[in-house]
Amino acid sequence: MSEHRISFKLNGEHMTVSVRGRERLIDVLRRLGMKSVKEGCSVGDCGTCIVLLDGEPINSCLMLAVQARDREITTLEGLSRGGELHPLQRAFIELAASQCGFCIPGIIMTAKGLLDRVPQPTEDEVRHALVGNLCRCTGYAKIVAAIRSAAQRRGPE
Amino acid sequence: MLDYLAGEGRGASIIAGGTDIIPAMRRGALRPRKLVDITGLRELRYVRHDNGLVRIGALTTISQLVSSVAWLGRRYYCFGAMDIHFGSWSIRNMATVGGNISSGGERDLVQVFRVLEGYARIRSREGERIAPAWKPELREDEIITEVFFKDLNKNSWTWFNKLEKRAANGIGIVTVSLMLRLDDDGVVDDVRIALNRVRGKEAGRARETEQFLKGKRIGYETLKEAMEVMGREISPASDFRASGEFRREASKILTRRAIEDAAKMITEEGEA
Repeated sequence: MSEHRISFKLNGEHMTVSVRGRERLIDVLRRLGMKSVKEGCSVGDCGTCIVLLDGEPINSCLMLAVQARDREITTLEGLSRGGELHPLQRAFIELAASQCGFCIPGIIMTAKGLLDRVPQPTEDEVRHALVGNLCRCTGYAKIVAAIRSAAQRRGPE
Repeated sequence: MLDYLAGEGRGASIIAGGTDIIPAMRRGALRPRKLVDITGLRELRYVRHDNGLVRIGALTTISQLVSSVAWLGRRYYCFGAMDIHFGSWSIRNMATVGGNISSGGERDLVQVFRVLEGYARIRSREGERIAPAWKPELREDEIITEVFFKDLNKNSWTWFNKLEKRAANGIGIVTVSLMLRLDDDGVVDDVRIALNRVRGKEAGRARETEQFLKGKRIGYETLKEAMEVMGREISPASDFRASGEFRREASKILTRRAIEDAAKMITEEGEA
């Protein structure tokens, strides 16, 4: 199988990596140590593999790594700044919005995509954005509350 | 690239959004020898008006299609409805218009293009051909470059709805797509209705129902009779999601709501 050298920006850092033709983006991200990116259903239903591509949530299990050439990828690892947690991460901790935690990285990335375009979403808007993120602990109430709490502490932008 | 598909790349599959082909490869339903990534063809991402046509580039994502309603006009509610009924947000950011058409079958946009009477522009090394967007019958050396249809004029409204087992991101039990145009007196000038299952597992237009409605004024009695016509016209297949009988009833209910809503938008809002 063919090898390709591709460059992209991962969590603010330019990098060039060698990938196989059919390697998916999720495989390469995990190989690069981004273990927050989880493989759940592998067909785009569960949302545990969601990362931001040029600021938009996408399922990294449905994209080939070569398709991320010259794009900008953000994973959960890229959210904290200088040891300081992102407001979304702090809100999830304070409200104990994580049960088993497997779905949480994908959910926080979807939430980040949402808050970047809608700084103060309504509950309906949060729930609509989360349609593609399944939480098998069914802990949606606290997840939604944490996202709205993070929006409030960031204030309108 | 067209040379490649016709020559060395025989047996290759095209990958764009990946939301259909990657699951199909995992299931083993598709085993392409090679994959050709076309996401770099940025010139195939557009939605524009052009001489009375609306032209949509094949690589336009569903999210971009949804946003285009802001300037295409509210009468393209059928595209706006994709924000609710087409997968999840992340899927809409990846899946493309051309991909949905290529995959075909019961897929949502395929049904919408039935009522918009959309055509696919298809390119290969041998040239260009035009085919109905709901039936492109692609050869392996061809790619869809755009879908186009006649821009709807005033007094028109479109609609799409899906009955599914969860609030969103499910497979449709029944989907209804509608284009309704009334004349200045509120009489049905043109109507097109597409269901995901008309006969058996086949998607298609409910032409007898359409014919019945043409030239009539939308009202309780007319709709009641029209839905009786639809009840006789369609015979959707049963499967594990729902029985054919349930699908028939659900198709009638969603269609009636679609027509009522569309007629209301056209007359009351003076819209579109």
